[in-house]
Amino acid sequence: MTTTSTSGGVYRAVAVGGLLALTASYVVVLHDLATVVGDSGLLFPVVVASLVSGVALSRVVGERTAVLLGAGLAAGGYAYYLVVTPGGLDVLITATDRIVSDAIAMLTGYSILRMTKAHVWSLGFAPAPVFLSWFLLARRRYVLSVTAGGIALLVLVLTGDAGTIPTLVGVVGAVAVVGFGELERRGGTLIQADVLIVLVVLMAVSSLWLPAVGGDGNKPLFLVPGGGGGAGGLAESTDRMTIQGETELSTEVRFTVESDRSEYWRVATYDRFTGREWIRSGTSADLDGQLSGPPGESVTVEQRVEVKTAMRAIPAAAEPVSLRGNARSPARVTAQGGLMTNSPLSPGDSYMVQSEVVTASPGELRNAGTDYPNRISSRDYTQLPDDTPDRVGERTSEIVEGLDNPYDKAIAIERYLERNNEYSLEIERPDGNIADKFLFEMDEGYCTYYATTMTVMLREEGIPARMVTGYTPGQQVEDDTYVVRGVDAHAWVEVYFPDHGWVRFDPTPSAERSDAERDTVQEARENDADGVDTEQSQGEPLRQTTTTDTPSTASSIERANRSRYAVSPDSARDENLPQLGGIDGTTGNSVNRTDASSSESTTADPSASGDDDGSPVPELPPPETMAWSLFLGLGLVAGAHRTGLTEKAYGVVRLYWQGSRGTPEEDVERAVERLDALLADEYRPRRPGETRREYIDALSLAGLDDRAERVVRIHERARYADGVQRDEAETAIRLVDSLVRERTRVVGKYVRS
Amino acid sequence: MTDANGPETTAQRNREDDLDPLSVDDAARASNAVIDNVEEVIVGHHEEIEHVLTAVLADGHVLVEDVPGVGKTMLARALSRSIDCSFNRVQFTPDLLPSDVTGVNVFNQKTREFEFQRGPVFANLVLTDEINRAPPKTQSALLEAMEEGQVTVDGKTRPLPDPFTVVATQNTVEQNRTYELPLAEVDRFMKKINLGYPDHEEETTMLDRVVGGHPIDDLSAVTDVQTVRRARATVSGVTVNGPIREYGSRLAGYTRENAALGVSPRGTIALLRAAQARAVLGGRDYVIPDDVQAEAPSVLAHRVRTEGGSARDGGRIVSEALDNVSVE
Repeated sequence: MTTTSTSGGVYRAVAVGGLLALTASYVVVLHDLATVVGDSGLLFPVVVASLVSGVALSRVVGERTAVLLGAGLAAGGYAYYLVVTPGGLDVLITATDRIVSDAIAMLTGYSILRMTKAHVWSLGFAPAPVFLSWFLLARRRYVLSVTAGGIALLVLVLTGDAGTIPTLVGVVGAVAVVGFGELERRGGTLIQADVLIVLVVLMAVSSLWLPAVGGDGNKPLFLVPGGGGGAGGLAESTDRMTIQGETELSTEVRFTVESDRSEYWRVATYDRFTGREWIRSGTSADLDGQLSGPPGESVTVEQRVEVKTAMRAIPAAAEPVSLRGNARSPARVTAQGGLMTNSPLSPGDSYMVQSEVVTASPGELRNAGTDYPNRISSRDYTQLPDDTPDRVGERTSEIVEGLDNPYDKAIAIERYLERNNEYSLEIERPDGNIADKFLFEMDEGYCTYYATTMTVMLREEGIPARMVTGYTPGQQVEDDTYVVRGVDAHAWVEVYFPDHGWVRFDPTPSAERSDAERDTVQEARENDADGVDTEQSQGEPLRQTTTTDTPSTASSIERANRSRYAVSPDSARDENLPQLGGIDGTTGNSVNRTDASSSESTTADPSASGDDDGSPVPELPPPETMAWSLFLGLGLVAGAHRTGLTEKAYGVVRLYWQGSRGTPEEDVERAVERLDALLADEYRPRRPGETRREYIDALSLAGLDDRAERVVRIHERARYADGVQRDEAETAIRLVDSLVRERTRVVGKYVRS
Repeated sequence: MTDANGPETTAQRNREDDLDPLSVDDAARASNAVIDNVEEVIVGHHEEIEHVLTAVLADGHVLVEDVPGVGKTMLARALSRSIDCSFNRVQFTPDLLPSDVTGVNVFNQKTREFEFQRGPVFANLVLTDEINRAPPKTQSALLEAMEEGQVTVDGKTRPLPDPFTVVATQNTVEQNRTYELPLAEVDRFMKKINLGYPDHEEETTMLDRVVGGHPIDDLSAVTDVQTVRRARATVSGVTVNGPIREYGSRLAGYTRENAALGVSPRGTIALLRAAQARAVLGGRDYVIPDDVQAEAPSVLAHRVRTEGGSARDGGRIVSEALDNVSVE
């Protein structure tokens, strides 16, 4: 029996569930943001308090007052953020226009994570939408309620912080609130609920095939996006870099460098770690004249870079101090002191860059101390996500035990990682904190994993460190010319030493996989792939690169002293290139690409196609797939129910299946059910309040003979009197059998003679 | 103090337990004979006759609501003649006293003792006309008699004859100067029925019969009081299985959910009791949903009140319940 009141209760419950989902979708995103920056403890209490007060106040204050309260909460939240952020108040007073432009920037994909005090922002942002949406839900203003919650989710989608899953959950929740809420308000029927379920499932499923909304616009569909870091070829200097799974490298030549020193060509640096992503916080500024180099001793390196395939990055040795050349768009400098550009460089572009390379010796670095200048400590280079497992810190402490200076600790960590994990590009991206998984659960990984883990471990020790992406020196073709291909994309670590600056450490083991890299290029050459070689590198064997570099990387110094490393820049001859890593999906046969190869890499790389995390398809379906199947199944069931397919299939079974004999009463019950099914097909279903006698009487006018009536009489005795004998039950079954056979001649022939 | 008339009264009030119940077939035969007999006189009210008879068999009372002159009194008289039982009729008026209904102690000058003069309520079948015209106190005296099956006068309790069935009528016109029956009292009537006008054909038949002498005068008994008592014992023994009790309870539940005042538990009990009598009429010793459905409108409708609605809405709610509550 479906009465309006009970189904109304169910609808309301579903609507409440929907708003829970919507609220959870953006609260989870906010929580993730807060967790990354370090302080998420207050968020849930604040959300719960807002929710409870929203529901509680719904009986007390009017809607106008509530909207004003909501606006007050939002304003209060923002004010709180400004007060807590250093310099925030000044901005409010002196640069209102900047607030506006910042707001616009945010809504066009500027991740909230790039804000210095993202956790404070989250805390200020949450109460208003939670309060308003639950207030309105309690007053059954479903559409308005969803509007309040939806705006919150929309903001996070536009900033790019809400991934596909939260967005989807939020949208489905919103639809459920409106749909079922209105069903409840208007006393809808089960049929309408069917339609709604089908609709929701269709919407969710179709979103899988359509390009994801905002949230992912900024998201790299190629692998290691990052400042070209990964993106071997693309070399796009993006603001965030998601750590990917299995990857494949392009053999295409990206650029050539004329430089008197073999250096790592840096593309981007990242300071904020979310557990699975690196974020570049802060804003960039126009490059205006000279940049200040490292504070300590350095050697000047002049580089001339010629672009061979389009890339949105300005690779340069660290630290760049000046830039000249015909790059079309003005270069910008990031808050971390790196170079970047907003529009891609085209093949043929070239530029001159002057860098100051730190030349501190190990001894000097050992004695550098830990008196970090304000600009380093304020940048939060020791940030770690709140949810970083404790065992990471514990393992780090074990590794560095007894060491008293950051330099020795960094070397120890570097050696530990080199020794304990194998290099491989064919891995599956784990769920959860990358550093933790790489340290404890994964056996293999590539540069991004090594560098990420090392950075996290250093930060556990309180040592300022950051993640860097870029290229290894590349193939040396003349004394001072290097050909850099997609396969040379790499990621490494920079550690800050007072009075010296950022010093490079590379925890990725190089020797183990240089053969594989060489093979990649050789294979590409044999296949006549485009762009594998420049004129100079044509026909050149992939020999080891001479690195003139001695002191510039701290780790290379150390390596020189450690004979166990077969290959190091210092031991002079490294087959092909010391490091590879990174990522690129392009296989390199397009020449005229302008806007990077991101779209192509999307198609080229199987793991990058489609969904959010780009994880390759595992052998067992992951929980998401299971959830999806379930969800889809629900939709199919609702759809089948809607179209009556289930009834039809069930109907056939109901007609013919008497089943094994039970008690006489059960058999009669079953027989009469079959009779019901038969008559429902042939005439009309029995109405709920209609007794079987009335039903049979009504149908007998339409030509039903007395066999049905006899069955019904037997059934009455079985059900309402003291029971029936076995022979009566058999009579009922026989009568129904004969009726069924007669009425469904076609099928009946094959069932029983 | 003696009882002036009817020393048999105490003996009359035998419980049906002591009786030897009729077989269901015999009970059905006797009942249908009574119905046929009454139909000799009353034309076109087959269903209503069945309702009154089932009320007698189920130990209940009937409230008839209708305009004057449609044969309410005739129905009661015909029934009493058919089962050969005592019959009294009381016209309720605004000045009627409780003692006018129950009886009074009168001082006998000869014996110098108080004697109890039995009121009209001491009969197997009592017709109380226009019950809503009497003041509440008088109404409640009657209702006590209905509920308890006994009458208390001056501290002495006297049992009423058995069977004891009240057929009360209520006038739906001339509503001024009436005391509407309180809901609690309406609830004590097992069923409420309407007679309604006969249709053209029925009325012609009826006129044919009454011309030249009323057929009631020729009506003879087809059964006796003892048989009615035994038939009533049969009714008590009719099986009411789980699904039927469930069904009755869900019908009552539906009225409670959809009306300001739903069916009371007393109403649900009455429904199943009436359904038992209905089953006997159908020659069955078990109740089927059809019995419940046949009895539900007359047994339940007058117990349901909608918010500010008229009494008619009760019938609507009950018929909704019958349509919507599924028969299982």
